[in-house]
Amino acid sequence: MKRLKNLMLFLAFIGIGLFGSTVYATDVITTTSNVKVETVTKDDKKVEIIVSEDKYVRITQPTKVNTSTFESKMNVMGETSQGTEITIEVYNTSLDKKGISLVKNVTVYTVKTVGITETFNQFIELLEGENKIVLIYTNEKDKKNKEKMIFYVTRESEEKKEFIKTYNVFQDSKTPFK
Amino acid sequence: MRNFVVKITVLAMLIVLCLWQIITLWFGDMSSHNFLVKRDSTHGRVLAAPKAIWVNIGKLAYKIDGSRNEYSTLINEQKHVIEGAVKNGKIKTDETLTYESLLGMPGILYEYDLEIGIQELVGTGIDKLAEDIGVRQVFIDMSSYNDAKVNLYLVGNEISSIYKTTLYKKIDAHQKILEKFNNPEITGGLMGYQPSITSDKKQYIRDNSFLPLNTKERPLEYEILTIHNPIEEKEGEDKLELLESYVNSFFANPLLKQVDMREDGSIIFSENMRAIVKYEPAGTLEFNITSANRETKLNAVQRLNKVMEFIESCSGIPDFLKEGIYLTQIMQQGEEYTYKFSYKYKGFGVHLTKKVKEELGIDQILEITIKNNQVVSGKWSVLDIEPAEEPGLLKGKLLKEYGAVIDQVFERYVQDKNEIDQLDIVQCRYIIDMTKGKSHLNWIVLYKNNWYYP
Repeated sequence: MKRLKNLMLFLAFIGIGLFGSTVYATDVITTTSNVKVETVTKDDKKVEIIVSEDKYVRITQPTKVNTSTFESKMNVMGETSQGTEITIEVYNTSLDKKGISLVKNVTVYTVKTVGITETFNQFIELLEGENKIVLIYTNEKDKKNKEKMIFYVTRESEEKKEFIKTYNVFQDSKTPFK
Repeated sequence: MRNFVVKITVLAMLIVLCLWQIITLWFGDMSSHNFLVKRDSTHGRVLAAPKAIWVNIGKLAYKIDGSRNEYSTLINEQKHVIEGAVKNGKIKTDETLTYESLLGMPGILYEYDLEIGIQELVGTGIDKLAEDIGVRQVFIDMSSYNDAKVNLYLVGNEISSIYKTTLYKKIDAHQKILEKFNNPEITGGLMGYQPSITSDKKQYIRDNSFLPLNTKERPLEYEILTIHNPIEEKEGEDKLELLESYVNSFFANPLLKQVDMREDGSIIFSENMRAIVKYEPAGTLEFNITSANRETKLNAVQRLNKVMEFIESCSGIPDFLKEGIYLTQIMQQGEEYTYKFSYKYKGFGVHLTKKVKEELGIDQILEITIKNNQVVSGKWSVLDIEPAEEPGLLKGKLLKEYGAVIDQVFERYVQDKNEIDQLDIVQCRYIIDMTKGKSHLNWIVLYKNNWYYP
C-alpha cells in the first residue's frame, strides 16, 4: 500500500515536471507560426510577402514572420478573395523569468468583409514586447472555415530606441572611442 | 613734428571710418538701418502655402495641423533650406530613387496643390540653377541629420522625376517635430495616415493620397463647421456699414463712391468707372479695376508676389480666409493671369460642391486676376466658415475606413476592376454643399473628372 502511495506520488511529480507549463494553459503562448514567406514580383521589383499555408491569404505588411519595430501602431495589409471575413487577434506577451510567454493583453479586431478590390487592412496597436497576431479567415464559398495565420511583431522598448540613437551618434561623430 | 604726423594720421583714419560708417548706414548692403532703399517686398512672405504638411516616420505619416505654431516655423525653415539649395545650384535628378522609397524615409513632406516653379516657392530668382524646376512636393529627409546633413528632394507633377540636393544646415524645428512624432506617448492620441503608394490599395489610386487610419474603435474626430453669410444677417444701415468696411479700400475717395442697391439684393459700389465692387447676397464680393495702360511685364515671382500683396492688404477678404488659403490653379488668358485659391481648415481641405460653386458663381473660394503690373479683378466668398458653437455639435466622427470607401467606389462606378482604372484623388475634406448650414468632414473621390462623395 505504502509502495503504491509512493509510486503515485512519484508519478505525480513526474507529471508536474513534464507538463508543468500546462498549468498556465490559459496564459501561455506557444511561439509557433504556420505561415510561409514568399518572394513575388510587384512593379518589376521582388518583394517578400507572408502567405497562409493554403496560400489563400497573402500579407503584404508585415513581410516577415517575426518583425521587429519601434512603432506603436501598424497597418496590417493583405490580399484575399472577395467576400472573405477576417478577424485579427493580437496577443501581447512578455517572457517571465523562466522564459515562458505570458499573455498581458488581447485585442480583437473585426475587419470589414473583403470587397471588390480583394485587399484588406487593419490598423492595430502594438504593445511593448512580443505581439502574436492571429488572423482568422472564413469564406463559405471557397470552403474556408476559421482558418488561421499566425505571425509575430515585436515592439522594441523605448530604452532600446534611445540606446541605439545614442550609439549612432557616437558611431557617427569622430570620438576617440571609434 | 613726429607727434603731429601721428595725430594727423589717426585723425584721418577716424574721418575715413566715420565716412565709411555713414555710407554703410545710408546706402549700405544688408544693413537693416538702410532706409533709403526700398526693402524687397517678398521678404518674409510665403508666396505659395502648401496644402498639407506630413511628418513621415517610416511606415506611417502624421498631419501637421495648420493652426499650430509649428506650421509657420516649419514653413520658414523649409524656405530657408530651398533658398540654400537654389544658391548652391547643385540640384540634380536622382534616378535611383522611387517615390515609394522616398516615403519610407523619416522626414517632412510638403504637398502643394499645383506644380509651381522653385523660384515662386521661395520668392527669389533662379540664380545658379540651369533650369527652373517644377515643384509639387518638397521632402526634407532627416535620416542623416546626426551628420548635420539634410537631403532635399523636389518632386514635380510626375512622381517618377525626383530632384535631390544635399545641404549642411541646422534645421532644429524639423528635427524637433520629427522627434516629437516618434514619441508613442504623443502619437498615441493622433490619427496616423497611410500613404496609398505603400498601401494595399496602391494599384487603385494614382500617384499618392494620404489615407487616415480611422477605425470604428478609433474614428477620425473633427470639428463641425458652420457656414453662413454674416452680411445677410444684418439689415439696413448696419448691413451697408459692414459692407463698406469690406469695400472702402478699393476707392481713392470712399466718401464719394456711388452705391446702387438692386432689387435682387446685390449692391454695386463704384467710383467714376475706375473701380466697381459688387456684392452678391449669395455670399460673394467681386471687383473690377480699370487696367493700367502702361505695359509693365512682370515675371512669375513678381506676379504671384503682387497677388499675395493684394490679398494681404485687402480688407474685403475675411482674415480667416487669408490664413487658410493655398494656391490651387494659375490660368493664363492673353495678358491676364488668374490665380485661384482653395481653403483648408486645420489641415483639411474645404471642398465646394458643384451646386455651391454655381450658386456663388465661383470656381474656387478666392480668385484674383492680374494684368501687366496691376491686380485688375477678383471674386471670393464672404461666407463665414467657422467651428459650430451649438452644444453637441462641436465634434464629428468619421467612421468609414479607406478600404471600404475604395471598394464602394469600384463597386458602384468602375465597370471593370481588371482594367485597373485608377482613382485620381481619395481624401477626407470638409464638404460645403449649401451656403448656410453645417459642414462635415467626409470622404471625397475624384475619378475621371467627376467628384464622388461615398
